Amino acid sequence: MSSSSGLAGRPPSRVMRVVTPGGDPGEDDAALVEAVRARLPRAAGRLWDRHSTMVRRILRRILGPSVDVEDAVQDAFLRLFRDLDSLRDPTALRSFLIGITLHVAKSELRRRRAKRWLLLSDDGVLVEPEPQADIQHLEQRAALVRLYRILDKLGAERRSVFVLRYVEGLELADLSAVLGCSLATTKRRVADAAKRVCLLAQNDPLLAPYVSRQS
Amino acid sequence: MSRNEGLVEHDAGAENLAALPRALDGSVSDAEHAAGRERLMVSFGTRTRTTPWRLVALAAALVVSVAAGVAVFLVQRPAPELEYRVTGPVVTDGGWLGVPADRGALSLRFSEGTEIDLGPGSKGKVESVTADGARVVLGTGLLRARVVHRPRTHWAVMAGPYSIEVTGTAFDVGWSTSGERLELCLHDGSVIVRGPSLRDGLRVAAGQRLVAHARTGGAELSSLFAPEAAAETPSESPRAVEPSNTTEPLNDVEAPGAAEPSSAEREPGDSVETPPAHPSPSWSEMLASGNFRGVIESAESRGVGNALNRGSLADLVALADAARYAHEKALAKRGLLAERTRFPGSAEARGAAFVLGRMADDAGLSAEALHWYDEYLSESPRGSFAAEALGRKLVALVRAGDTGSARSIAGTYLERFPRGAHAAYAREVLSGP
Repeated sequence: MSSSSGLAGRPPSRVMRVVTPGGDPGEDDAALVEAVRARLPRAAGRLWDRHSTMVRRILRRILGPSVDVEDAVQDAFLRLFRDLDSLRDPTALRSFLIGITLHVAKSELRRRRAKRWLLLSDDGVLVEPEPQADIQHLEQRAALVRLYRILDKLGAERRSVFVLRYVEGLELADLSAVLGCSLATTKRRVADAAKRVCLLAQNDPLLAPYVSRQS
Repeated sequence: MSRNEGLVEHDAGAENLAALPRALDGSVSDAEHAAGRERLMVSFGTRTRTTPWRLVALAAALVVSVAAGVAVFLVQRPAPELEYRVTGPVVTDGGWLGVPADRGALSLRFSEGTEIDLGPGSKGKVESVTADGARVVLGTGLLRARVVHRPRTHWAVMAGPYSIEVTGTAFDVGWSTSGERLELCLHDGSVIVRGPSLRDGLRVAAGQRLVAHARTGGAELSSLFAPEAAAETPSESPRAVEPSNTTEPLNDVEAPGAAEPSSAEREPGDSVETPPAHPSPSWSEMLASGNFRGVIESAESRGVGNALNRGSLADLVALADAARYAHEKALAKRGLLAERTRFPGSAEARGAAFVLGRMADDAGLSAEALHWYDEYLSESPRGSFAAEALGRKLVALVRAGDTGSARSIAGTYLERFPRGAHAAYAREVLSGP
């Protein structure tokens, strides 16, 4: 349930303070972490302003087009606040938060998988609503749905690796930090995820052109 | 590190495919961003920081043996204050949590398992939180609570001039600011209500509905059974206990003229065609006005046996309820048994099975309680007390040491009522040895 969904028709100025996403560019992550740890009055809000867009984007990209991610975004931040004391290097906040977001996404994927077992349709496929994003071309929208069907077959781990590396564009070193494994292992996992996705996509008439197209 | 360092055989294809999900990114409006921020602040800003573990020597116990005495210092950790999370649509205004009228309910999940929902269009706030409970204010609309019972539990719900003191219970409460009308439906446990004309506190027990009017100071106590039981027949459709139905009482409390009793508040006798065998006020009306002793004295004047054997179903229900509320347990049981033997199959008779189970349970008669819970669940599998019956059956089984059956019932309970008042208990049973 989206928190924003209930705002229609209400004058925002009466119920909330509108803060532009992005936060204060003059404050670095380490200072922000210390401020939150000290429970300074507006620190948590500033952390939200700075990083919520990234968390929401990663969750949307991992979970796919048919999911309202607002609850998951909230969950990620509440977990962050809960676990912030365990962050040894405050400058590593971004990686730490991506790791938490990944954990939230995996939990959601597991929950959805369990739901699929309970709600299988006649052909064994859960009917997904249309993507929420405003995608102009029908073909592109259909391809997107097909891609997420492939990602559904990968399992949460490979799916997350694929999205973080290729969709989110994380550097290998950053991805390595998020996954908590060595660079060599990270490379192997990235290669494995890319190979799986591409092999499955090659067998799909809508996605095959993307695989064969030159970058 | 350059991005190209990670190039693998399928990099190009993966990059091309990855362009598709980026189309999902869209944008977030400032208002949406602010709404998420406010929601987070409500959850985080009011969450209490867990007190760092402190070792506190609470007691020293001296154990004396023949050879020596040993002092044992017991250390105990102070209980942390409860934490809670807010999920669902919320707008905040001056510390209040507002639920948009068209976007479902707002849920407060407390760390010890208590769940409080605010219905669509409602407004409320958590005024204070302690280790043993919280004080929640209902500004307007409907609040649904499932409070987990623990030792020293101390919860309170405030609605206008009324306070509802809670131990462990499940109830719905509606408050209309315009009508200054409180409606409380108690599904499990008991509460004490204080307010205008209720300064000494009125105990409201499971199966009772209290409607109180702050303007006039009037208060009416009635039975939940008959109105809900009537809805139970014959299709056994899902009952008003489902969260999606929470809008019904909310609409009721918000409606103009809501101070007038609705049809849902009519007493059992109103729906029964048998004419009363006594002059007005009827026993049902006396029950509604809280005159329990008057009902019993009237029955005694007619002859209790006569009332039980010949009275209408409405009178039997009123007599049994009055006796129950007046703690005349033997008479209450006779009345309930008479409902079942004389009017088998009626909604009232089915509800009586649950009440008989509760009474046996309260008296420590586990076997008898289990019998009646089973009767109720077989006759009314979707009845409004099915969750309580199944939960209480679970507790009775654990108490009786029947671990195998208890685990089975715990699983069934969680499947049917994952957010029920006994859900945390059921999970404990399942996770136990």
